Amino acid sequence: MTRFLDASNLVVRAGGLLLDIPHLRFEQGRTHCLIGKSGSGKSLLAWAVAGLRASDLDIDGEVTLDGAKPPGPLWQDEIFLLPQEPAIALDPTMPVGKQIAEILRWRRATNCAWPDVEALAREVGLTRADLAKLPAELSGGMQQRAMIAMALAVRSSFVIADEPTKGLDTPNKARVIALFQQIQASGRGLIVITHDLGVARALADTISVVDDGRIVEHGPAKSVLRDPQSSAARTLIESEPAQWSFGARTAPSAASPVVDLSRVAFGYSATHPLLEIDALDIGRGEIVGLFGPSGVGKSTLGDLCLRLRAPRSGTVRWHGAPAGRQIVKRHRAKFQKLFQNPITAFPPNLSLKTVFKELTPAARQAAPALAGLLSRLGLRDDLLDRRPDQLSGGELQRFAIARTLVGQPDFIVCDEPSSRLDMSVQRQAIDLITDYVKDRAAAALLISHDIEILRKRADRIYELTDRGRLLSLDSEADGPS
Amino acid sequence: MNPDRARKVSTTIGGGLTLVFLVVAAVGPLVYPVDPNAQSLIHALAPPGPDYPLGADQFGRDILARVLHGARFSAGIAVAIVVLSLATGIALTGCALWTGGVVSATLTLVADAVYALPGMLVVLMVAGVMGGGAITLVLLLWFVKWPEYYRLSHATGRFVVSSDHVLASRLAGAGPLRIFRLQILPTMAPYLLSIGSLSVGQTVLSIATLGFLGIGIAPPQAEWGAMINDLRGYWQLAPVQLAAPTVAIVWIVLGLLVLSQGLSERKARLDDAFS
Repeated sequence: MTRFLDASNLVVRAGGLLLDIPHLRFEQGRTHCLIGKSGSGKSLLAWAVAGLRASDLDIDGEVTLDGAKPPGPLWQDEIFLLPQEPAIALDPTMPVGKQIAEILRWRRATNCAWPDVEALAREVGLTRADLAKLPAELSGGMQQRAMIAMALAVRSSFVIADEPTKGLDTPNKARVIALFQQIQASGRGLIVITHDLGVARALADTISVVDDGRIVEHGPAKSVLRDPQSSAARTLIESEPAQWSFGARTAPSAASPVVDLSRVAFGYSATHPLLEIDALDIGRGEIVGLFGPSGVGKSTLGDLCLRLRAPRSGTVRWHGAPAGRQIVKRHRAKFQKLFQNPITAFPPNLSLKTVFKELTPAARQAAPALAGLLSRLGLRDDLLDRRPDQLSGGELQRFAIARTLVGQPDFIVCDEPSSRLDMSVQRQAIDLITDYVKDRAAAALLISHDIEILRKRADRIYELTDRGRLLSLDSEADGPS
Repeated sequence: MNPDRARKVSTTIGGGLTLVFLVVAAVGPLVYPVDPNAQSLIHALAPPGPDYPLGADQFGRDILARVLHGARFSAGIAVAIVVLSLATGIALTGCALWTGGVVSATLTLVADAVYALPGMLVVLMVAGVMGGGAITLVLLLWFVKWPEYYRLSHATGRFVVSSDHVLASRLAGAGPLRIFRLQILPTMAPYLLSIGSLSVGQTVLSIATLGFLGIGIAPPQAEWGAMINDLRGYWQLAPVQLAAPTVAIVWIVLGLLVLSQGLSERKARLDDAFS
């Protein structure tokens, strides 16, 4: 018998209204995707449906399974919630195998044996050796697979997954999607919250678009994705990298590059270099893309270009001069970085005003320039009085860009800007930086694990292989030249 | 009791006990202007009465006056010691975090070496040989206490210094002192406040211990430990006189302990905010 999960008159408040859902029905055996930009209330909806009550939230409304209320405050075996960020959800002090075994024992059979755990782990592609490891010793993709193993262990009728592919690179994302297809095949109802339309495209039967705490569009996946009716859905679809228009190209110039690396090696031991870069140069007006899976050292290469790390051997040059202590000191403000996560890039205890006034000398010297920059970025002055936790991810991202650009840098490393926020914020960040680079003839290294973004925005693309070497992908850069 | 309430209650009780103590230490001797060292042998061991509210000791000195002056002495010295060690620990942490490498390793080694010394024994030995005095006491206790603060602030600061937001400020060209003051110090402050308030209590206890052993404090300075030692032979004749300095010690040590408890709950909440 097919079971139905209904949410009626769901209202979540914390001060203001955060979520207002008159009615939403989920069906067992089908996959329902909730899409929407960051901060639209998708996760709140998942929490409210799963019966989780955060102390500072005021949740009203009713959630029923086949018309029946939950047996207690939670749904026990009926609904399994895969929380965002498996790294936080897993117990950091216990090997993952033991954690899976615990779930098996509690939720399926008290007498289950270790081979059962191993069988379950094999289903999600974890080896026996992986099971003995602590969560911190596993990659983000493997942590997510361990969580999925737990979801498989519980014979629930519904599984809710909150941003299951957040921060994962393409191959890991594909694996997670394949595992969700397995959950679908087992006849469970799947509710996936995501800002990644690729995930929705691969999994969804029906899609609801959430915007500002309301469902603005609802319908079969194909029609929503192909012919979106609401502006929120259109924005989401347009900000997908595949839909981006190509940026202007800059041909490599003969003038001396802004940054160049020659025969640079980096590693924590002399015998096992992690990175070996024979040559990399980035000229004026050029955006060089750096592609590669998670954990190969893309960020480290960016830090080497910025001389935040010293190479073990080889030379890093800035404007043609070896970047020694004196050169670095003189040019520091001109070689900047846009951090991956705008939330950690600001001190949590300080207002933005203090950050710009006290901790950004370039902004102090050029207050009118900063004011102009902020208004161009659409940031009101009164936002400066807030602390980072009082701003949205998108606003904070624009403040981070303002801080990076206020000193008019010659070179910027963009380290997967906002890859944990939604695509529209990512696109905004990348476009602001690329526009700046083209206007001012600056240079940039754009790091991403999404090849599509690089194809659309970079003049040249390199792949960093898992052996720490650069591989030119320029034959693949098939944009208009 | 929910943790929020528990934190408020312990901060209030601890803060209250401490505040009362500090007020008494500050204005007590002014409100009750009796010379703590004036002897009157005919009133030796006089019981509490109109002339001697808490009685007199074996030399006929007024116990209330001595307890009040002892409070001023102990509080002053303990606060001085803790503030000095705190400042030393924070300043050295700043050096270590900024320079890194050899300087940091050396400082940590020195701090660990001093920390490994049995502090009380060192103080006993040196004060015993060199003779006492308030200054010697402050210097000695400072010497054995600073590594505690260095280790604590270094351990918390180390993680902040490698965080994105500090790196972002360095890239923006902000000076090391500003970064330290605005970004690193605030993350260490709750830990240091909590340990610092606990440590003032411990230091009061240390001073009393030394006084009891007759080391470090030159008579006739009114000091609680020394008073207890003087009067313990007369406990049957002068129980109130013996109890007075004892209660004073328990009062302040307990007050600071509970206050520190409350502050460390606050610290746990700040941890969440900073994670």
